[in-house]
Amino acid sequence: MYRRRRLLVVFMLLLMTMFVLSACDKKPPIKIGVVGTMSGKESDLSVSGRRGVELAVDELNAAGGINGALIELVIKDDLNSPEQALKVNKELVDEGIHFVIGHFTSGMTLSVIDFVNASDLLMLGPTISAGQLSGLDDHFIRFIASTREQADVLSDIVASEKHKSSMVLYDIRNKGFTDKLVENFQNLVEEKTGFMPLAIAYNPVIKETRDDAIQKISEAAPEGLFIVASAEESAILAQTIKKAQPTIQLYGPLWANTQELLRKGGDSVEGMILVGGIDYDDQRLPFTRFKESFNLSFGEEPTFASMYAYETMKALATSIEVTNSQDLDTVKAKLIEINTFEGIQDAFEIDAFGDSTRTYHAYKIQSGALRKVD
Amino acid sequence: MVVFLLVQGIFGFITYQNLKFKFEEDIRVNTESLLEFLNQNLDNFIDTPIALLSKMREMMPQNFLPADVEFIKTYIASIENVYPIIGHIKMIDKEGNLFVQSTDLEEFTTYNFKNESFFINQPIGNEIIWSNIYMSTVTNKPTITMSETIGDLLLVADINLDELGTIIHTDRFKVVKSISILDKYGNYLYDDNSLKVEQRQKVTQFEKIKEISLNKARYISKTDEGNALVVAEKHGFQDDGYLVVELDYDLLIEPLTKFKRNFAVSIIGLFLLSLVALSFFMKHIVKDFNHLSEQTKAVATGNYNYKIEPCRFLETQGISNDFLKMREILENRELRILEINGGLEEINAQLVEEIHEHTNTLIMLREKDTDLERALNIAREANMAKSQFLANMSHEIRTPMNGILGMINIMIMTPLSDEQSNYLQTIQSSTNTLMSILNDILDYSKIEAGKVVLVNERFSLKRTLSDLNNLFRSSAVHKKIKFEFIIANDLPDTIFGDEIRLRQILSNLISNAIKFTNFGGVELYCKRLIENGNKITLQFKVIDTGIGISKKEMDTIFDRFIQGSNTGETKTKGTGLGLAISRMLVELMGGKLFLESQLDIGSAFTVEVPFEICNDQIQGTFQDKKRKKINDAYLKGLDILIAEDDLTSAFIMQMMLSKAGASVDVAENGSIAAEKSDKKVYDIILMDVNMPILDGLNATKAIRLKNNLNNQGASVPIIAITAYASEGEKEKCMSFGVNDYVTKPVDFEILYEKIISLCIKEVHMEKNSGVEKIEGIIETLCQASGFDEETAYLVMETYLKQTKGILDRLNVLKESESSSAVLIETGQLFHKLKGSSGNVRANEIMALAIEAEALCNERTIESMQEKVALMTSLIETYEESFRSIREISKI
Repeated sequence: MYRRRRLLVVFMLLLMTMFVLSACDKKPPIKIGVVGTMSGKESDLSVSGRRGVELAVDELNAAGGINGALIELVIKDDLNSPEQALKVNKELVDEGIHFVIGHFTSGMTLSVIDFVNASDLLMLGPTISAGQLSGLDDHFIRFIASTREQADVLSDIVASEKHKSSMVLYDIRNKGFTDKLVENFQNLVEEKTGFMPLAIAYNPVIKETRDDAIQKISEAAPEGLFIVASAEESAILAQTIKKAQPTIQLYGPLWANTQELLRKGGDSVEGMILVGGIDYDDQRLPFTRFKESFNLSFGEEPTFASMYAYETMKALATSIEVTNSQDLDTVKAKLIEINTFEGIQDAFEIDAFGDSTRTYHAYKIQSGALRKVD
Repeated sequence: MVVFLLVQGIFGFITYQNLKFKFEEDIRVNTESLLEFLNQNLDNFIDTPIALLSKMREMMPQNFLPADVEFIKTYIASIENVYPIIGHIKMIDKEGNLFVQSTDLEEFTTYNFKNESFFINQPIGNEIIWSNIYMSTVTNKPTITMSETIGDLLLVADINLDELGTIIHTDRFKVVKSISILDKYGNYLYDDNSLKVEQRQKVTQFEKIKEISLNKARYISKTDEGNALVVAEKHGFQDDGYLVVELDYDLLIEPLTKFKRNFAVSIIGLFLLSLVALSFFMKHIVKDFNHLSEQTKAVATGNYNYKIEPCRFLETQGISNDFLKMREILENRELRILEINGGLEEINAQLVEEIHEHTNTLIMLREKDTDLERALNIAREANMAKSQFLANMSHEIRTPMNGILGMINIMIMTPLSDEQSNYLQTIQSSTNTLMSILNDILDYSKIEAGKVVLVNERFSLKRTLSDLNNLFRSSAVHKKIKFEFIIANDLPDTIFGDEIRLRQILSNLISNAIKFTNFGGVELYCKRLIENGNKITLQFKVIDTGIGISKKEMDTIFDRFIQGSNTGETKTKGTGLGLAISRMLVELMGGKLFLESQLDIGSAFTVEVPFEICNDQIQGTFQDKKRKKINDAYLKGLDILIAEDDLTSAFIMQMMLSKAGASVDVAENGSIAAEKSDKKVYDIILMDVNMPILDGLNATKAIRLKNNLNNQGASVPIIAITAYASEGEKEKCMSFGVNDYVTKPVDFEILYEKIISLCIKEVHMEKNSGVEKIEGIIETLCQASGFDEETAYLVMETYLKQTKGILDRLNVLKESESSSAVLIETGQLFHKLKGSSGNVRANEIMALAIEAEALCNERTIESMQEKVALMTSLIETYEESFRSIREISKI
C-alpha cells in the first residue's frame, strides 16, 4: 500500500514536470542588434533607420515572429565615435548576438568592420554605401547601392545644366563615403562635361575650416555646388552660402536627404537637387501603407533610412525563417541565394559579395517638399 | 480532523479575500491620489510657460520700432535666466528670418526658419502651438517649442524637457519606481533615464499603456518585468499624451504579503496543535481497544474467565459492558451446541461409509468406459485405413483407366465393323462407369479427410440448371419418363458459390431419381428461400415417382455404401457413395439435405444451400459464342510440343491434337522438352507435371529462364497437365511460370479451349486493346440501342467505312491551302464525326472530334492536325480489330 502511494507521488511529479515543460514550449526570442548614432546632433539618420527596423519587428512579431520565435531588438548607441562603435559591437558579441543592423554612416562602419569580420557577427548596413566595403566576401551586407550610382545620377544633371563652373564641398569626417563619392563625382563630371570640379574638404567640428571653405567658394563663385555633408550640416551651409550667392545651384547626396535638411534649410534649400532613395509621391499601396504605419507609430515621416532599414530587417527575417537557422554563414548564403527582394518602392538585388543594386532618382526641393526630377 | 482543517481553511480564505479586497481598494485610492498629485505638478509645469508667454504678449509693444529691439532682447533674456524651464527664446519675422533672440547664437543670425514646424503651423490669435519633440541644436537636449504670434512676429520659446524631472519627481512616494511622460505616439518626452529621451526611444509596452488609458483603468497592470505596475493617465500636455508611473509591485502589496505570511503561520500552528491533541487521545483510545481485542480473543478461544481491565473513556466503557453481556450469552449457547453435536457425529460416520462404497462403483464404471473408448478408436482407425486404402487404390487404378479410355476414343475413330463398334461402345460405357465409381471413392475419402476446399466463384445459376437439364434429358427420354425443371422467376441470375460442387450434388440427386424411376417422372423445383442483403438461400427439390424409400432405409440411406432397395432385385448399380458425398458437400457448403419418401410412391430430396448474390452480370454471351465457333480444324497450323513420360497418354494426346489439325512433337521428359523448345519455335507446350529426370515444373522454369518465344514473338505459353487438382497445386504451377493447367484425365474439349484462348491471346497481344475497345463499343451499343449483336456489328461496319471516308477527306484538306472555305468544311466534318461517333458510342473518337472542332474554331491548325492524325490511327486500329473479330466469328 505504502509503495503504491509512493508510485503515485512519482507519477504526479512526472505529470507536473511534463506540464511545466510543455508550458515552457515558447521559443526563446531571436536577438538582433541595432547600432547607430542614436543620440546627439547627428542622430537623425540612425534614429530614423532604427524606427524602420522597429516597425518591421512590430509587424513580424504581431504575425507570430520568425518560426514561432519573437524578435528582440538590442539597441546600441555608437555616439558617432569609433571607440564607442567598437565597444558596442563587442558588447553585442558578448551577448551572443549574431546579426546586427547598422551602423548608419560609413565612417562608423569602417571603424568596426575588421572586428566584425573577425567575429561571429553579420552586419547589415541599410544606408552604408562606402566603396571600400564593396566587392568583398565578408561579414558585411550592403542594402544600398554604392556611391558610384549616386555620383552618376548627380553628374548627369550637372552635365545637363551646363554650369560654367562647379565645385564640391565635403565633410571629411565620414571618410570612406565622402571621399569615394567625391572622387566618383569628379571623374564622372569630367567624363561628361570635360571639366573636373574642384573639391574642398572641411571639418565641421573645427569652425575655422568651415569658414575657410565658405570663403573659398564665395571667391570662386561657381554656378553649381555639390555639398557632401549631413542634413544638419548641409542646412547650415546652404543658409550661409545662399546669403552670399542667391543663384547658386546646390546638390546633395542621399546622406543629406532627410526632413532635417528641409526643416533647418528653410528658404535656402529651395531648388536644391538631391539624390533620393524614397519617392514621397509614390501612390502605390506598399509605400502608402508603409508611410501610414510609420506616421502612426512615430508621428513623423519615414526617410530613405527608415525604408531601407525596414527592408533590411524584413530580408533578414525571411532568410532566418527559410533556413530556420541563426548561423550567420547559412543566413548570409540564403540572402545571396534569394538575390532579389521586393522592396517597398523598387526591387533590390544582393550580389555574391553582399552588395546591393538599387535605382536612385534625383529630387528637387520645391516649396519645401521633394519633387522627383524627370 | 479533516473537517476541522477544512473549516479553518474556508474561514481563512474568506478572511483573506476580504482583506485582499480592502488592500486593493487602498492601493486604488493611493494610486488615484498619486496620479492626481503628479497631474497637478505637470499642469503647473505646463502652466508656467503658458503664463509667461501671455505675460510676454502683454509686455510687448504691438508695433515694433527698431529702438524696441534692445528692450525686447533684455526682457526675453531676463526671462530665460529666471526660468530654467525656458531654453532659448527667439522672434521670427514674416520671411522666416531671425528678428531677435535672447542669447546671441551666431548660427541663427543667418538661419531661415521657413521649414520649421512652428513656422509652418503658425498660431492664430492668442493660440499657443506646441511642436514635436526634437533635439535642440543649442542645448543638444530634447526640446519642445511653444510659439505665439505677436503682431507680425512669431515668438518661439524652447522648453527644456529634462527640467520636467525636477518638477514632477518626488520622493514622497517610496513605492514609485519611475515616472515617464510620453507623446501620443509613445515617444518619451521625459523619463528618469534621460537616454530614452535623448535617443528618442519609444516606450516598449505602448499598446498596453494605450489600452489601460483607453479603459480609464487608472489601475494596476503588471509589466513584463513582473515586479512593477503601470499606471497610465492622459495628460493635457502638448497634444494628448501619457503619463506613465511604474510602481514597485512588491512594495505595493507588502501589507498583503505580510498578512498572507502571518495567516499561513497561524494555520500551520493550529494544524500542528490539533495533531498533538489528536495523537494524545488516539494513544489512549487504542489502549482501550487493545484490551477489548484481547478479551475478544480470549472469549473466542473459550476462556470465559478472562479478567477485564477498566476503560478510560465513557464510550469504550459502554462497549466493554455490552461485551460482558455478550460473553454470558455465548457461554450458555456453547454448552447447548456441545450437546447437539454428540448426536450428529454418529449420523456422520454412517454417511461416510456409504460414500466410500459409491466411489468404488464409480471407479469401476470409469475403467469400463475407457476400454470401450479404446475399442472405438481402434475401429475408427481401421475404418480410416480402409478408406485410405480404397482411395489409394482408386487413384492407382485411374492412370491405367485413362489409358484404356483414351485408346477407346481413338479406336472408335478407326474404321470398325458394326459388331466391333458395338463391343467397343459397351467397353466404353463400362469403363466410364468404373471411372465414375473410382471418382466417387476418391471424392468421398477426400471429403472425409477434409481435403475438399470449396471455391467461391461467380457463376450463372440459370446456365448451370440448363446444363443439367440438357445432360439428363436424354436418359429420361430413354426411360420414357417425364422430366421437368420448375424454376422460380425471381431467382438471381448470377451468384457466388462452388458451381462444380452444386452440379455434382444436383447431378447425383437427378441421376438417382431417374435411376429409380420407371413410371411417372422426375421434377426439379428451384426457388429462393431466404434473402438477406446479398445472402440468399436457395432450395432445390428433386421429386420423383420412383420406388421410394422405406422408413427403415431412410435412416441409413445417407451412410456410405448404402443404396436404396439394397435387396438385389433392382438393376441399379453404383458405389452407394453418391448420397453420402452429396450430403457431406451440402453440409460443407453450410446447407442441409433432407429426404421425404414413401415406399412405392416416390421420394423428394431437398437441398437448401446459401449463396451470395452477385450484382454484376457475367459477360457470357460473347465468350460462349466464340467457344461454340471453334471447331476441330481450328488448331490447324499450330506447332505443339507435348512433354509426357507415359507413352499411352502421350500417344492419346498426340492423336487428339493432330486430329484437330495441329502439328505435334513429343518429349519423354522435361529435359528433352526444354531442349526441343530451344531448337524449334512452338506455339504452345503441354507439360506433364510428373516426369522423370526433369519434372514439368522445373522444365517450365528452365524454358522461362531462356525466355523462349512463340511464333508471334511472345513468351511461349505452357499448359501444365497434372493429376492433382488441389488449390495449392494450381498456385504452385503458376509460380513456376505456367500459363494454365488441366487435370488428368484430360478433357480434350477443355484442353482445346485453353490452347485456343492462349494462342489467340498471343496472336492478338499487341492489338488487344483495339479488340477490347471494339467489343466494348459494340456491347455498349447493344445495351443502349437494343440492337442484337449482329445488327450492332453491321452498324459498326457502316460507321467505320463512313469515318474512314471523313478522315480521308480531312487528310486531303490538310494538304490544301488553309482558306476560310477549307476551314468551314473541316469544321463541318468534325461536327459530323462527333455526331456519328456519339451514335455508335465510339466515345474516344467523339472526344477527339469535339477537341478538334474547338481547335478548328480557334484556328489552332497544328494542334487540330495532331487530333486528325490521332483519330486516323485510332480508326485504323478499330478497323483491324474489327476485321480480326469478324474472322474469328466466321470460323
